[in-house]
Amino acid sequence: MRKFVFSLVILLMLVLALGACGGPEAAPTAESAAPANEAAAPADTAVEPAEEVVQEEPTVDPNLPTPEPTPIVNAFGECDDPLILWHGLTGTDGAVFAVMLENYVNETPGACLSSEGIPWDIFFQKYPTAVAAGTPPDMVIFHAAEVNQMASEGLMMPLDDLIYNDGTLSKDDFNPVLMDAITYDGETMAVPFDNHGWLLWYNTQLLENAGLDPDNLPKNGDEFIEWAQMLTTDVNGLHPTDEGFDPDNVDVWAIDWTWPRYTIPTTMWQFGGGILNEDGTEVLLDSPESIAAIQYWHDLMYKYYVAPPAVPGKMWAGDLYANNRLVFMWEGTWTGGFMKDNPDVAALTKTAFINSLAPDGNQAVKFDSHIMSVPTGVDEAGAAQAKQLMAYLANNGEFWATSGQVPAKISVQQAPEVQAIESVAMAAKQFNEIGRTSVPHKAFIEIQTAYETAVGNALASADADVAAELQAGAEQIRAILARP
Amino acid sequence: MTTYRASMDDKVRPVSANRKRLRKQLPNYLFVIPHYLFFAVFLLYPIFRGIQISLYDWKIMLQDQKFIGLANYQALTKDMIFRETLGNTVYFTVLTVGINVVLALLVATALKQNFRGSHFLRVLFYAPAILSVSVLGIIGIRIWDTQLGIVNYFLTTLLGLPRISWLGNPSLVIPSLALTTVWWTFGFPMLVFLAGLQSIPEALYEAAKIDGAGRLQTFRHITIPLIMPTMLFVVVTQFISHMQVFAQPYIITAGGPGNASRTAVMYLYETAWKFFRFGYASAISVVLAGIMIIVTIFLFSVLRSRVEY
Repeated sequence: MRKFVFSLVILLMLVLALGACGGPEAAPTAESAAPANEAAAPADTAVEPAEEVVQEEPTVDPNLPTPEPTPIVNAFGECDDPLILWHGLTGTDGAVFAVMLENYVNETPGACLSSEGIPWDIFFQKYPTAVAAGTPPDMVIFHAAEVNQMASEGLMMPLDDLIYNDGTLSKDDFNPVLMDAITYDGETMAVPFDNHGWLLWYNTQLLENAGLDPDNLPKNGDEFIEWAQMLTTDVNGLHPTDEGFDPDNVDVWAIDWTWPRYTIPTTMWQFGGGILNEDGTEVLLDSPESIAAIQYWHDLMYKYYVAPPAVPGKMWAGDLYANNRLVFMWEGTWTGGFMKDNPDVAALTKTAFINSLAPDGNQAVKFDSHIMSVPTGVDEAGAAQAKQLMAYLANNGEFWATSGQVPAKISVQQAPEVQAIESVAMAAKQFNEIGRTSVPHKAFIEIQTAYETAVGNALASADADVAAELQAGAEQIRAILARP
Repeated sequence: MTTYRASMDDKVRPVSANRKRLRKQLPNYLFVIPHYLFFAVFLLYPIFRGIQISLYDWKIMLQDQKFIGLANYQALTKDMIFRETLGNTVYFTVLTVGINVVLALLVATALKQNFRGSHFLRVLFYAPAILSVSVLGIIGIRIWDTQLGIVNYFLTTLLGLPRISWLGNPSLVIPSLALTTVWWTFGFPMLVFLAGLQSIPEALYEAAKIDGAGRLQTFRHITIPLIMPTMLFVVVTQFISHMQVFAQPYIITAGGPGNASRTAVMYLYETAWKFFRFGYASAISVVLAGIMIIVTIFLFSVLRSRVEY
């Protein structure tokens, strides 16, 4: 009897293990799981944790050389006192960045540096503690949106005297919206390295298959819903407007809810709302315009069935897109690197300004920037080394553009080699014409967490009360603003 | 020495005896000093420092910190996120500890029997405990994923049921995380129970058998009472461990959807290292520690009264 039970247990375990290894019958060719409550975000811009993308099967051409991981700590050149650089460029753009640093050392006599790529959440633990301990790195790279908070904590040195006032770099050669975002108490705290943010990537073949013109995209939210219903199909080829449409087994989605950090403000601004007002003193998260913006997304997911529900574990938009299962993808400029690795996908793809979802077609898009700065406590020699590297990186943005990011200097954006990269040229134009940055605030990350959570709740299920969730989030932000 | 002793009165004599004892024990104290030194520097001092910081509006770069008394604690009483995350933590802990204790005890009872493969099964059941939490996170995602997860695979393919959004449904996400954690951690309580069970004299079971007691009666009237000291240890250590849950939700759900799986320690971490509110984060940690101490004392008092030696 015992032998029988034991054998049964072993058999059952084997069946379970083998069955699980088999995977689903109708599994897509390349899919991944995004563990966080948001769509997986690119590693180079994520502050929040758990946004790792787990690749089921390779989507990259097997004939291409195997990519090498970006080293975490990388030494360039040799000298007694290397510049210590901390940054979070650990994604695909990290490899491009490493080449830039190599070039810098080769082209600059006597220069040498140690570059440490640190995941963003760890970065923001190490950075303040290192400054407080009196052992800061000589230079750091993080995001423009976080400058106000870091500066208000006393972690950054003003750079006007170091690099702007002597004419090494001109503030006028950068996006003025961005320069405002990195100015704290009247002092410029950083040098922009790039502009990055949302861009519309769309599959022209799927549009043509649906009889739609890829060169004449919908102009407003109402037009977009009509298009979206024509583009979304279930596994039986039915559209959401057809009887018998199966929303649980959709084959092609029209659009996807991508990284909320960019999608939320972008949509809210399009609708005339936002998170905070311009001077950061009032909360707009529960304004009728902001509620309408999130309600629009809720409707796309649960009323029109043209976007997958925004729940944790949802498939990453990039994987849907790579498998011709997504038509319109709101994704980052950094997707250029992904397209470079996937020429088949790139051949079907075009880019455009982020399409307006607002009824009146109002356009807006959120963009941010990797900024370079000098931590508090760096000595003169370290600051001088940092100045040299910051100037080099800002002036040589053409190479950085090959990663898909837009060089920060407007003059560099106009360079022929930058304009030759279609997505970069489009994104540069878009950011300069309709780009907006997050409203600076000393509690920016806390505010961001509050509104992302509120919107996450609002979009988590079909019966969620969008207005109530945003009001709850707005109350939290009001409490944050009310603090001295 | 003799002359000295002879000149001492009776009152001084005990001091001399103490000195003698001290001299004799000195090497022992020297051996434990490093432990106490590390304990004081890395545990005791941070505890007191944490309590101190909780009374300030602590800014990392300020030389003179602003004392605000109990303001952080007052703010905590009105903090809805703290309440929500604490509720999530307690729910997770109750589920995990409850399932862990029951499952571990049942499996340990079964594995106490000497059947072929029992040693292999002990190793097998303990094996997940050696995984790092990062690996567990990846496995957890693979298990609960709506589209490609193993659980939904069996539900849809074998049972023909619809897919369930385990991590996307606010009411399912904590149980999903708790079950993942049980799979990961129940090996340790199982081993402890196994050791406890093996210390129960076989003669008691034989006597019960002679008296005609069934398996259930034996388990209820012999095993359970005599396993209570082990039960006390397991429940208390499991409670303390799971109240500090952080990495599983951090990796698998990032606290979502919304705040549905955000735990108190996650909130503490974010408050300190994302929002740079170190005073407030310290207050959270002090309150959390206070809750754990109170519940532990309660568990001791309840379970100890049932201990039979």
